[in-house]
Formats: sequence, structure tokens, C-alpha cells
Amino acid sequence: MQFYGSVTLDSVKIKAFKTAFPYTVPIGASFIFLGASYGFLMVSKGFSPLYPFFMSLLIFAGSVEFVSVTMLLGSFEPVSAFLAAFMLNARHLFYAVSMLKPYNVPGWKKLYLIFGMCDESFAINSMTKVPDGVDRSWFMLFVTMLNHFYWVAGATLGAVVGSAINFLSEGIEFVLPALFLVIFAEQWLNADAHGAALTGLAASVLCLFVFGTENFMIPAMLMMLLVFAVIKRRAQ
Amino acid sequence: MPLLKGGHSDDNVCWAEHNNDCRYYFGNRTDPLFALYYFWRRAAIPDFVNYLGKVLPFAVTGMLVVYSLKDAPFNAWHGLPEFICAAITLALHFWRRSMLISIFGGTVAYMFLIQKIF
Repeated sequence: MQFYGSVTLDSVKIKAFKTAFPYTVPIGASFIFLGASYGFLMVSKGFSPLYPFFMSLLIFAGSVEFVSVTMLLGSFEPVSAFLAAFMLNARHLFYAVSMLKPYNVPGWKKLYLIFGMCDESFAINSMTKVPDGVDRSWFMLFVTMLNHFYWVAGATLGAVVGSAINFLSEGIEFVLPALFLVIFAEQWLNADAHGAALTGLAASVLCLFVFGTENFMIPAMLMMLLVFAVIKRRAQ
Repeated sequence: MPLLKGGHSDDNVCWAEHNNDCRYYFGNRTDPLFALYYFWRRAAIPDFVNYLGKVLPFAVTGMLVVYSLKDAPFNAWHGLPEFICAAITLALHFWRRSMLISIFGGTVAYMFLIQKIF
């Protein structure tokens, strides 16, 4: 399938990979440990290590995978499993709207980018200003692939070597809040208006205290939609 | 050359040229189909959705910050270690402006606090 310019194509890929990798290092650190705790949980519930491997590869949604442990052990209820997965990851609706343009790349890359979307890939792909000369679609693809890889590697490792990997790693989960904080700070420093960022922050904090830790995301998202609809209407 | 655009936000570049990759260039006969697809897609995205696409990345990052720290206010120390380490992370970031330093600094501080002090 490759005709001319396969040399430049490869250097495009290498360049994009080299740009993408440093962004994913902190995510790798946390995903390997988080994935390991999931893999270990699965094995301790009596599943073969193949389960965490395939589930982390094919589901690739942390919270759903943890919930799926009880689903697999419970009675057969595909509708409630679907609803639970949909509600747990409803924020992906927002990711989709935000990435309509950036992810509109030709070919199979688009399909994989959509499948492999996770909080961390979204955060990096939506905020990073890719340097000149680096192909953005390959950059986004490698960010997604590396994150996916770390997660599968962690889950499989955790299933195979068990609790040994969690030794002394207590607290490593702070990588994720730190990552989101840093990205929030970067966006804040680069933007002239902070209305959208403040809306997201305020709606989430408010809903967290009103609806509790388990149920706050969907009300928070509805509240944001409402605020943005009002702002948009005022502006017209 | 059709006026097809790639998925990039700064996309005033021809599709085939932009990718510089002949695998994605399907030849002139199929171009009108792609153009049609593109304009159909373009027409199908309402104004409000485009607006959301611009503001949501900012709002959602704010939501992710809250989401990732959601359990902190309700734990034994009411989020004190998380607050300290968030401050460390941000301070490091404003000082050095390096993602890796900020994240590793904040996380190592948190691991130390959780394992040795709290």
C-alpha cells in the first residue's frame, strides 16, 4: 500500500512518537499501578489472568472494568450492564463534542482514536499545541496507543505477579489529579477568558457536595450545558 | 484537487497535500463523494455544538480536576494531604512550567505524606 515517500512517512511517525511519549510518561506510571490493582482484583476473585488482559484491552474504561467484576459474578443482565457503563462514562459525550474536529482524521486512525479515548488521552490531545512539523493525527494516535498499552500492561502484570507490585506504591494514584491540575493550569495560562474553565470547576464542586461522590458527574454536565446555552443565547 | 480538509483545526490546507501521504489520496473519481461527505458533515454540525466544542475542553478539565479529587474532602483528613500536594504541584508548575517535574514532584510529596505522616 505504500508508494512513494515511505521514508518521509516513517520519519513522520517517529517524530510524532518522540513528541507524544514524554506526555504519556506520568500516565504510564499511574496506569501500570492502577491497572495492576485491577488485574490483581480479578485474579483474587477467581478469574484467569486472560480476563484482565482482554478486558483491559477491549473495554479500556477503568471504572467500568472494576464494576464489571461484580457484573460477571452476578446474574446475566446485559441491559443494566449497558446502562451502568453508559452512565459511568457519560462524560465521553462531552469529549466527543470537543474532539469532533481534531479527531476528524482520515482512515482507520479515527476509529482507533474514538475507541481508545480516555480521560488522560482527552486531556493531552485536546490541550497540547503540537509543535510545527509534527503530524497531529499521529501524535494523537500515539498518545492514545501508549495510554492503552500502559493500562493493558498494568492489568496483565497485576494479574500475573499479584500484590507484589503494589508494594510501597501507596499514593501513586495522585498522578492523575496532578496531571489534570497541570493541564488545567496550562489552559488557564494560555487562555484570555476563564469563564468556561470556571463554569466546569464551579458546577462540579457544587454538584459534588449536593449529589455526592458517586452521582455528581451527570448533574454537573447538565448544569454546564445549561450555563453554556444561556451564555450562547445572550451573545446572539 | 478538491477543497477537502483534514481534521486539523487550522485546516485551510488541501487534504492530500496536508497529509503528504499518498495512501490517503484516492484519486479524482471519488473526490466528489468525499466533498459531499464533508459538506454533509459540515452542515450537520449545528452552531451550538461547535460552540460547545470550543468551551467544553476547558470546562471538562475543571470537571476532571474535581472528579480525580472527589473523595478527598470526605476522607479522614478532609483532603488536607491532597490540598498540600495540589499546592505543591501548582507551585512547581508555575515555577518551572514543566509537566513532568510538576506531576512527579506533587506525586512523590503525596506518597511521602500518605505513607509516613498521615
